[in-house]
Amino acid sequence: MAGSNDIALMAHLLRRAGFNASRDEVEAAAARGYDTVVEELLNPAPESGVADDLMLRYHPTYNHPGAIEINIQNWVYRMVNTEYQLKEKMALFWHMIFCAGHSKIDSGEEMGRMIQMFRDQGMGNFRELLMELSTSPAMVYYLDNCESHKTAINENYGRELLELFSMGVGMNDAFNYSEDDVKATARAFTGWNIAPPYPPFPYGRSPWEFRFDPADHDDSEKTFLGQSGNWNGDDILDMIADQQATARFISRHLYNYFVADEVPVPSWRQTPPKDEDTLVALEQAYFDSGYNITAMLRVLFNSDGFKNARYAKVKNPAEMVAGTLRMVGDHREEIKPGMFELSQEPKYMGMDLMNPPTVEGWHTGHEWIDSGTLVERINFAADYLGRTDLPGVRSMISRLMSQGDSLSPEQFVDSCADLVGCLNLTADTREQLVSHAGRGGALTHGSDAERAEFTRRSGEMFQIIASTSEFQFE
Amino acid sequence: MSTHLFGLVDVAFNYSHSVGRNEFNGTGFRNPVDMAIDDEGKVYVLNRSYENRPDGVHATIATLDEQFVGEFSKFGEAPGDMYWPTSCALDSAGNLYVADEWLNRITIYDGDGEYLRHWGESGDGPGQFNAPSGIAIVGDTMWLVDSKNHRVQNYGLDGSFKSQFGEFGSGNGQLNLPWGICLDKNGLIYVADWRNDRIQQFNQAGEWQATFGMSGSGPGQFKRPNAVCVDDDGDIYVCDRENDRVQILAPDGRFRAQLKGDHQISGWGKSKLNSNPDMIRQRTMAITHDGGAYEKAFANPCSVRVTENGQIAVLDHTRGRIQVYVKEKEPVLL
Amino acid sequence: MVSTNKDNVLVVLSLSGGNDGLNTVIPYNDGHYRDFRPNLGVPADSVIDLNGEIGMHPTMLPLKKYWDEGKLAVFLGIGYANPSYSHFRSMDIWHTCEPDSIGTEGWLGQVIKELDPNNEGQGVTGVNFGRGLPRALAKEGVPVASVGNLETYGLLTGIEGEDQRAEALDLFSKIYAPTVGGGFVSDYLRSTGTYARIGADILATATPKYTSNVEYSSSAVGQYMKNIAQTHLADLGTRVLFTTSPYNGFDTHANQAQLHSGLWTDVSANVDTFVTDLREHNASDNVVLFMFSEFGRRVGDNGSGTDHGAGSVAFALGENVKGGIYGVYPSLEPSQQEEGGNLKSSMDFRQVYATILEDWMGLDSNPINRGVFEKVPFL
Repeated sequence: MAGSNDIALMAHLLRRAGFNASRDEVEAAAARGYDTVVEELLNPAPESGVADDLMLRYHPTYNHPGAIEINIQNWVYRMVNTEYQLKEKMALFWHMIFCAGHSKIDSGEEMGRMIQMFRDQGMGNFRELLMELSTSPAMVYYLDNCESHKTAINENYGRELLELFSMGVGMNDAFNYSEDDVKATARAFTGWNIAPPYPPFPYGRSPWEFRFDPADHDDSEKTFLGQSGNWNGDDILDMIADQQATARFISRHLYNYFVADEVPVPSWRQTPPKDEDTLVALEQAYFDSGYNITAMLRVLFNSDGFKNARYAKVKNPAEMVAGTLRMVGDHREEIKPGMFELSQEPKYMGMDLMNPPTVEGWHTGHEWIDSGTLVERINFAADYLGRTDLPGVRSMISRLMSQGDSLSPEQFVDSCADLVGCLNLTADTREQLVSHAGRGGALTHGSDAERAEFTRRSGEMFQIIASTSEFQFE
Repeated sequence: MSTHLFGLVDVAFNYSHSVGRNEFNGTGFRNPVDMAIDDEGKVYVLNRSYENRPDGVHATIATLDEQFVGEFSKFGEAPGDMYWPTSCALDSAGNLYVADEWLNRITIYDGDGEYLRHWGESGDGPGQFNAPSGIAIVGDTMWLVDSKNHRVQNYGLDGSFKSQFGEFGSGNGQLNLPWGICLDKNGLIYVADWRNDRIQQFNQAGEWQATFGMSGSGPGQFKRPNAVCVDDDGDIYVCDRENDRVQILAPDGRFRAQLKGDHQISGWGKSKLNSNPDMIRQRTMAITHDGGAYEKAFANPCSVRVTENGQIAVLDHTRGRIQVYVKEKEPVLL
Repeated sequence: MVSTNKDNVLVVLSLSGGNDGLNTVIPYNDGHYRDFRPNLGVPADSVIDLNGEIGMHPTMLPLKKYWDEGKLAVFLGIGYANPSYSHFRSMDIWHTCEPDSIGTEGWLGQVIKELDPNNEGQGVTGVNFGRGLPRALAKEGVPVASVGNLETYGLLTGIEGEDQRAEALDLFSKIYAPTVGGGFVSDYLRSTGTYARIGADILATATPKYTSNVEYSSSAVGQYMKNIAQTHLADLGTRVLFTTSPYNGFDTHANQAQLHSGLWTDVSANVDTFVTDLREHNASDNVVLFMFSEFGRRVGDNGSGTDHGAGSVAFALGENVKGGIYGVYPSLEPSQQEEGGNLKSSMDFRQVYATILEDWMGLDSNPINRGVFEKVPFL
């Protein structure tokens, strides 16, 4: 039997390594044990994780969706429904680092395919992932590698590959690479291009295909990080993958995403990480495993640094939306209309999925929140948590009732906070909520009328908890 | 006269022409799901579109020689509206019946698209249905696939319930989220048993007669077949949807041929490109690259109908067009 | 911020989807127009003539009186060099004034920052009507409310019962009250929550105060123009009010004759109602309304519609606007068209922004436009 500490730890794991879970799922997972669940998360099957055939049937645009909105809709559906939660969480992780945006790419399907690539490769070998990224037609176009030629290089991809996708500008106040390394990288990737696709009219675009044009590749000698040779792009990737800086960069991103909010990336060169020990362990796992991301995640989820970092991160909008839906149990059974509107909610909260503001991605942590996005976050979560007809909420209320014939205001508030994900309320928030609960009179559920009132007050308390600043964290 | 070749009558299925282009309204189709064709070649196409483009949800009326006639209905729940249209069929008076799998109702329009009436009741009891998908009309009777109850029902055209058969399962006569339906000239019923990857044949009493196909992508195998049609020779046409092809089976169920799509640009398609000269060039470059394969191919073909004059029309869901074939009994030199 | 209703106010209506400029302000005497628009040409005798050469679409009749009064400015050939045909990208360019690189700061976000640098407007100096903040209004540290529906806007709107909700909001105020020793992020959240509540409270006062004799239509444009009027008339110190017509509605790839007429019937009627509303309240003097779209459409029709194009038209309307036609109509001559069958833009949108910024909002336009652009003398 899982104790309350086990349940709180499991709730934490499922929020971080997935998009949250219902209380029933948290308790079932806690009963299986932390180590078992970590391994389940780390070893998803190669299959889709959602019923693709049903999606094709009821949302038939699921087949080669051209419009960006459908691709976003499908993604949010997947966050809420996939059996393989960590795989999806990693797809979002890489999207937030390997940023490419629809406003330039202008093909929803290519954005969807890029996310699928992150889903398929995001927990594997990092060097292979960089290869997939460098041959992703959407990225080739987004960062202008198709405009980089033997006779005239365009440095955009070469620069961002080093600066934002692998090594980072520097660490410990030093620089990791020089401008000459950027140029060498750009030259090595000349000829990495895209075959001509069909235009959108009149029957829809064809999927873009990567094409290597040997004649447009600069095959001459280049010096990269002090090593000289006739490097092609894949040689560069080999060297990048083997850098200490790369191990540090990926480790720090993993820490920032899964453990606790870090300072923004541009400050990493000067600002040491929050938890040096955990980073060193992640870097060690990176090299020991031959750049395997799953091996790093295994170390991460088993570290005390991770286990103790409860509510140390501001939820990103996708986590807020998918996490709330998973907890309350809406859009988790029958495929039904309404997913489009829901899939726009992260945008209203400042995260336009598949369209990050720039190649540097979103500003995370407390920067997710301003007075406009806070209204959206609170109203979204509160509206759903107040819907006492939804299965997840119903189950939470029956758990409340099962605690006794009459609940004290303290019991009521503590239990409600516990049920929405083992939330730790600050003492003054708790005091305010207890005094609010106390003003409402006895919390009993003997008669039908009392049950109805108990249900209403529970929903209202969940809504109020959803509006707290504590609920903005995860 | 036909001859035999390797045990089958050597009938050829030749591509004729295409109708349509991708468009949310007017001269094109947007994620069309089904069509019905009258004796004069007038075709009614149901456009499902998608959630953020409800303006694309309606029916288009055109002809098989690509004349635009008009469009009717709109997204919504009011009488005459469509929400998740799935299937349509014409009665002998030329009225169009449209099944809606979210609203659980059958809506009837006249041949010009004027709303007449609707019927239908949600549930799993007799005379109720949950997500009607395929419908077929013969005389004064409608055969309706009650998909989420895994059964086939028979109604009068006024909605009066007559009978039903089928249950959930994978054995003979059992169904798993069935979708399309048709009848042959002898009154045998063919059901696209969608999630079982097969076609089943029943008599009018609902007794199982035969099963054609199994899961897979080889000849005679299916991946989520959703529509079926039988011509007067008894040949069976199946939209093998997730294999992106139409398979043609002989009356005994043996594999005869597959169509993978042979599209040539239609008139509406041409006028679209003519106003976008940059895309003419892009398309030409793409054709140079892949030999035209992409544009020719079916992408989730979702409805197949044989017309009075022997044309085989295939509704090509993702590409928003109809590819028309002709069954050639006399040899035609390509 | 101390406000008087005489501070100049800018209202922007963004026509989403790419309005067909050629069928909005129509060169109806141009033979090429007839040649390129065999299916969609608007008959010469039905256009609302402006100068003997060009005229407005017949559905824009409600706007004719403003033309006659000299209060409607029409900008021809508006766009930018090397046009993007992506809705998103082109809208971003109009919103950020960054045609060459990807910009994150909106031109109006910067306007709000300049007008209210210390955020004394409690988050209502600029207000967006619609869900989600358009990039035009984005700037770090500039709070802008996005109002989906002014009548119901606020926090915890899902709590039923007026008393219960009032009590919950009271509780909200208490749990977001400043505290000691919570740390930077906690303090930030508490002050942001307090801002959000105050902003919502301020906006909530707008609709109860409002009375009017005019009737907006029930369309999204009608309701948001009404919300804009309500907010302006409530005198909350709001200087920039932004709204967008239903997403991609102007994207008339097919069946354009019917769709485009419907769109302009809706826009024209509600713009007329809006100006009439302000006039009846004696509150129109300090308002300029600017209407634009992210691009125009191809010169040639595609049978029943038109596809994404470039050089288009835009409008400004207000008591202080010097009505008239600004710029020259781009040539429809095939050899003069841009790559892809497009009108070549003859006026940069930032020229109009420069006028609005300098002559209406009293700001230096160069930093916001990221360059020097010659003004168009319509104010």
